[in-house]
Amino acid sequence: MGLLSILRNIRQKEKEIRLLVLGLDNAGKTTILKRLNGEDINTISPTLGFNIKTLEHNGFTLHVYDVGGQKSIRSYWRNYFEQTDGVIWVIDSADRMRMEDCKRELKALLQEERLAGASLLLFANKQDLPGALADKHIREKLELDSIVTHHWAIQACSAVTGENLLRGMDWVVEDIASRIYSIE
Amino acid sequence: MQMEYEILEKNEDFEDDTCVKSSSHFEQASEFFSYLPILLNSIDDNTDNGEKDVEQERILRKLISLIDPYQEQPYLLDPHLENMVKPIVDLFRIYIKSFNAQDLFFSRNSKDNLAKDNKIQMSNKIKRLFTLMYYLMKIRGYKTIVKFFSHEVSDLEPTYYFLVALDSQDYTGWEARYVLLIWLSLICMIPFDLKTVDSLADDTEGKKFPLMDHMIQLSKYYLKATGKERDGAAVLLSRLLTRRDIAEVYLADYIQWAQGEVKDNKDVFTITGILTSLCAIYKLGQRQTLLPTLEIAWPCLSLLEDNKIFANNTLVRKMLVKLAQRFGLCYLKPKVAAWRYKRGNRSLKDNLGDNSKTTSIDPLNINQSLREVVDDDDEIPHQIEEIIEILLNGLRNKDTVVRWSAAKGLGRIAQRLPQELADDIIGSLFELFSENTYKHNDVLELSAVSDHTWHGVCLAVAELARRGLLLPERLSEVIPWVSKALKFDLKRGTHSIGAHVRDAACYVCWSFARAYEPKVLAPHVAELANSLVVVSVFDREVNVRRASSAAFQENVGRLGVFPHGIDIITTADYFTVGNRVNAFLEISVKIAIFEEYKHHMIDHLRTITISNWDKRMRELGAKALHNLTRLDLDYMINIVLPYLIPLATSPDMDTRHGALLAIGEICLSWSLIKGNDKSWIEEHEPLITRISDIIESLPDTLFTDFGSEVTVKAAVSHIACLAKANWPVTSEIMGNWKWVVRDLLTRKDEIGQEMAIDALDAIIFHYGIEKKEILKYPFILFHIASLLYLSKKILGFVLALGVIRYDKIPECLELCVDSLILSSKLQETKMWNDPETRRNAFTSFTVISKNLGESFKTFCSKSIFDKMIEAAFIGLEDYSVDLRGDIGSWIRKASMMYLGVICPLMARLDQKDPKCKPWLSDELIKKVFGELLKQSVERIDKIRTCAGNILTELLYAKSDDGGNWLFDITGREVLQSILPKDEEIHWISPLELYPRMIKLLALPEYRLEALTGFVIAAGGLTESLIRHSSSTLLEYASELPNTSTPGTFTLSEFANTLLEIFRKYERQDRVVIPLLEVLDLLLETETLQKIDPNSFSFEDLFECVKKEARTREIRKLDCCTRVFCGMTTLNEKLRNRSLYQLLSLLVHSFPKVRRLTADQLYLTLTASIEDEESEEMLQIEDILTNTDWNNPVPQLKEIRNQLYPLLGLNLPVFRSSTTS
Ligand SMILES: Nc1nc2c(ncn2[C@@H]2O[C@H](COP(=O)(O)OP(=O)(O)OP(=O)(O)O)[C@@H](O)[C@H]2O)c(=O)[nH]1
Ligand SMILES: [Mg+2]
Repeated sequence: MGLLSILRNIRQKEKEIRLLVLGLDNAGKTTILKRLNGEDINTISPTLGFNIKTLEHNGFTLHVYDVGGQKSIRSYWRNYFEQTDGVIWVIDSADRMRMEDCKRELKALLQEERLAGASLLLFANKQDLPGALADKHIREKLELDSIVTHHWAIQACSAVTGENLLRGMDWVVEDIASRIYSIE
Repeated sequence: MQMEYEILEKNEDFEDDTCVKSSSHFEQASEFFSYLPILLNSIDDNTDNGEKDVEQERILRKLISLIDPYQEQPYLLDPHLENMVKPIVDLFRIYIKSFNAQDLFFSRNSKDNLAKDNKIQMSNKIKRLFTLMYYLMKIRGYKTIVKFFSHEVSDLEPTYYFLVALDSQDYTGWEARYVLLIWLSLICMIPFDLKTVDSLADDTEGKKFPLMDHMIQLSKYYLKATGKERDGAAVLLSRLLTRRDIAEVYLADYIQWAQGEVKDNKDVFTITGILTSLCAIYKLGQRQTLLPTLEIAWPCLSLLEDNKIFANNTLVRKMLVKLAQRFGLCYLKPKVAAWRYKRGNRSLKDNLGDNSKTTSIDPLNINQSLREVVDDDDEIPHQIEEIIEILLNGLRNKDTVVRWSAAKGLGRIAQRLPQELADDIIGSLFELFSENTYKHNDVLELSAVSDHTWHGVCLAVAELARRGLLLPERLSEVIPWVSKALKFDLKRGTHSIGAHVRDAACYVCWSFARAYEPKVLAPHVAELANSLVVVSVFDREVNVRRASSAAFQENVGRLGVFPHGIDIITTADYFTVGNRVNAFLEISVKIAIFEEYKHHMIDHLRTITISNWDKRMRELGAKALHNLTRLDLDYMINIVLPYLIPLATSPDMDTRHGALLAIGEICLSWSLIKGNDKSWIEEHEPLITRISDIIESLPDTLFTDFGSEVTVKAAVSHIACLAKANWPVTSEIMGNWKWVVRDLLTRKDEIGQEMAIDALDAIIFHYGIEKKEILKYPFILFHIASLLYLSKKILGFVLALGVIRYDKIPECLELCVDSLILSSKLQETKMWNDPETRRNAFTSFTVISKNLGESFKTFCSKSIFDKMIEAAFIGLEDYSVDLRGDIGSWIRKASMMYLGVICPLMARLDQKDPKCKPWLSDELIKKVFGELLKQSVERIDKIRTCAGNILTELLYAKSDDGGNWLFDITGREVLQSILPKDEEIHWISPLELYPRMIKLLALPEYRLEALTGFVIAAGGLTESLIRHSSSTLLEYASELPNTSTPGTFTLSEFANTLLEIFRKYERQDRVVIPLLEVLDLLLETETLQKIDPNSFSFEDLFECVKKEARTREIRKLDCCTRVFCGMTTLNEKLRNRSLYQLLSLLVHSFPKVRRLTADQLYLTLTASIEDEESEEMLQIEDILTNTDWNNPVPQLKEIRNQLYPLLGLNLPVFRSSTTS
């Protein structure tokens, strides 16, 4: 194996990004993905297993894993952690009741050493709903500023209107792409 | 039978000009999707038949062939994968569910659930889809493909039990089994307690459950498979066993089992299967879960001690190194390196321009500070040391894959180590570099090091560097090693090794670009940039040149600190450095324009390239120095030449050769730069004298010893350059030079002779030659015959006669031309014949004519000219053959080339002098065209091409005054319509050529020659040639009019021309045999029979054939027999005459001829005689078929004689001697 084939492999690998979409149930994870993929979002039911979507974004191939967020499923999240370049954490901004829950799960997730170095995008979803918390409130509630182990960004959005989804995706892909070598 | 030989043309240096065909998208997508439904729909089609089966199989192969070319760029398939995979998977699901395999399984006693008769037999149709799926996985990688598979809870049991029910031994079903194992590995990622999915599980049992027991058992079974299922099983096992719920219960057991097997099992498939599964498990699993099992698994690493039979198995070794790495990674926590973000952008494009695009998230909502978790008090487990040891050792392994795996492992592990420990690894790598090196005169000698080790170490350095683990402080230590590795080249006998080391060194340089900030690399930029440029341009291997240019480009793109970086990467890119000649001679000059690189490049050529083991490299190096002289003459004069002069007498043959060539080339370039200004000669007199003396100072033994060839050639090249430079030399030195040149001229090697001629040409041009010297040449003697035993030696001198400038010594011209003519002729005594000599004579004619040029008529008399032309026509008839095949073709080619030069030259001279009678008469011109036309339909494609090209050139040549055609020839319109000016004619393609050229026959002027050419081709030996030429000819003849309208070409004229050929080439088998073949065809197709008997004499034709039948050549006799048989259908008289001939051939002295004649006669008679049932006919048939024609002739004669009355012939009067 010579340098030319090594480079071909490296270039090819650098074009492929693995993302994990997590968050509490009903947060809108599946809806976001379907919206990004241009699919119908009216027939979505809670995810009882996991979905894998392959998306094209700015020349990168994104392999996106969307795992159900129901409590019984959460303990299986760890089965999907391998070689994850980025985590997209989706929050139902209108679900004020479960912000504590949300914070706890996120904290636990970030402990995971296999996610060390992964970029973290937080989608403050469902901004279209009345009573949705603004991103800066969620930032406080989830104590995001205490996170120093990951690059992170929070973006308010709505999966239903599609608003601001691309901004978030642009950031996470860009952040991952600007690393000098990928997670192995 | 003779073979058609081609003259090999040398085509070095282009071997490497390959560029990978790359596409931008999946071009065959629509084709793929038009075929795929046929296979999908076949599943529902119950009207089975074999034809459909074949058709579907064909479609499967077609589909595979559409995607297979994307092996190198499989991601191009990505946009289509979903549409490819999903419909197939949907069908799989329906198919699988229709079997209800789990019911089958549950209803049965578990003992016989693997029994053969209970197996599911898959249909061929479904197998085809599995095969297609397997290919998709193979090309794009199973990981990508499997993402499109379904993975619902309800998929698990049906799919699993279906796999269970398949016949594991069915060798046409392995693709299905592999795909199913991979599929299961996805399904079992479902986020549920698998035990709750198991229909057989009951709550009372412990944590184990039947489904998992079985799945692991089945996976273990397939882990031992000899085929692809082994890999599938390893993937499935790793997925299952790294689920936390399953790991808790099953992992330790599995590891225990695996370790036991690894220790004892002798089956290579089992061992690789298990090792694959272990590598996958320790990669996928969670560290915390795996840690406790490491102790159990640890002994696997010493597999080779327990199980020595695998010591030489590359795959096993590679997996052990990989496993060591995985273990290491389990022991160590991952670390985040914040600097990963600080080295600019991963995408080169962004760095080189377009920086406008910024993220649009509110910057306040972004956190990009990263705290690296440093807990240095974390203890490093002692096993790590052992693992690093294994990996370091792996770097020296003889197998590339092992070294590569070890290098990657070291990179990954070092990344998790504290800085000091990672730096220890770097220290060890340096030690490996210096292993077996030694100092000689203060220079580090590498001749004893292992290229494997250097390759492995380079890879490891690169892996560490690109992860930022090679600290800037270490750079100044590592760069000298890298520079050495970039030029690593160890002589081993007649070649050298090290290309892989140089390639890996490029990887190191590439990784520097990724890991360091420009200011860190700045102190080393000059050295790195220079080394990379030199390797990009002057490496012997194409892949190394390309690797180096890629590394250079990465550095320019990321760091931008290489001098003139952008200019260089646009000059020396992947494609331009692909061709070695181009890299050496063109690109080098473009880069050396930059001062920063110039001297390093020149120094590389003078110190390294000129001693390269490969002669071609030394030659190119010398040529490159020639070109670079233009950029820095002073450096050449002051540094390079003084350095090279002593090397010209070096004891090392390669160096001596390289230095002689290089000095010559530089000096030639020097004189060309100075042009008419000769002041340099005085200015540099001492240096010039040293150079002039070089040839003199070569010890005589170098010219006589074994292997002197190389030195003599180098010396002659050297002399040729100096002579072209009009080097100031004494007559003594000149005498010496001539002696050396003559030495090479008398050697047998033709390339050497050409070199000698090149030198001689320059010497004669610049320094002249005296008559007495010419007369010393051995061939200037009319007693040439007595010297011909030296023929191989003569042939160089024949060329030498060509380069003499006869305008300087006109008195020698005739003498020399006569000698050349003599040597151009076929000699009576075969032994004296030498085709190369004859060919060279014509080459010399060409050169003489060119050199005399405008003053041709001043120095050459008409009678000499006539002699030369006449000789050329004789050369065109040279059809001699030897073991090498049609060697006459060389002579024909050389004669044509000569005519191609002399004819236009003479025509122009004639026109300049209209008062005089032209030397090139119309008659002569017509003859030249006729001969060229004949050669242009020849059987050897090279000859056709040569003749064709000259023909068109002459046809369209214009006279000097512009307007008129140079050659005023008859039939011009027809010729121009056959050979249109702007059309490219493929002379090598018989299919295109013959239908085009057949129209020539309409021109009476060239008919004889053209038809002769056609006939020879039609009776030739090459399948496609015969097919196209004979069918063209037959078709043409059959369409010729039969009436004798004046001005049109008729069939009888055609036949008369054939007769003419017969007479012209009487008993020349080369022409006559093909002619007989053609006659046979014409008779068989009843073409000749149509001729008006008043306009053609068949009797004459018969007489010609009869004459030819007096031969002992069986092939020819066979032809004659067939023609006689054909002639029986012409008329009564000829029938009888032919039959007499045939009946006498029936008792020919060769049994084979008798048999052939009997067969032919039988066929002819049964086909032509209407009254088949007649008594006579039956008797004739009986005699012809039931006689053993191998019997003795006297006996056969009696039988044969019965045939005369039966055929209505009078018994001839036999001479008594033949009937005894
Ligand atoms: N109004 C509003 N509703 C949304 C938005 N995004 C998702 N929803 C709704 O929220 C509900 C849950 O969405 P899902 O996409 O199924 O949520 P999920 O995170 O995938 O849930 P699980 O699969 O159970 O983990 C659905 O009824 C969606 O229509 C949004 O931006 N605005
Ligand atoms: Mg969902």
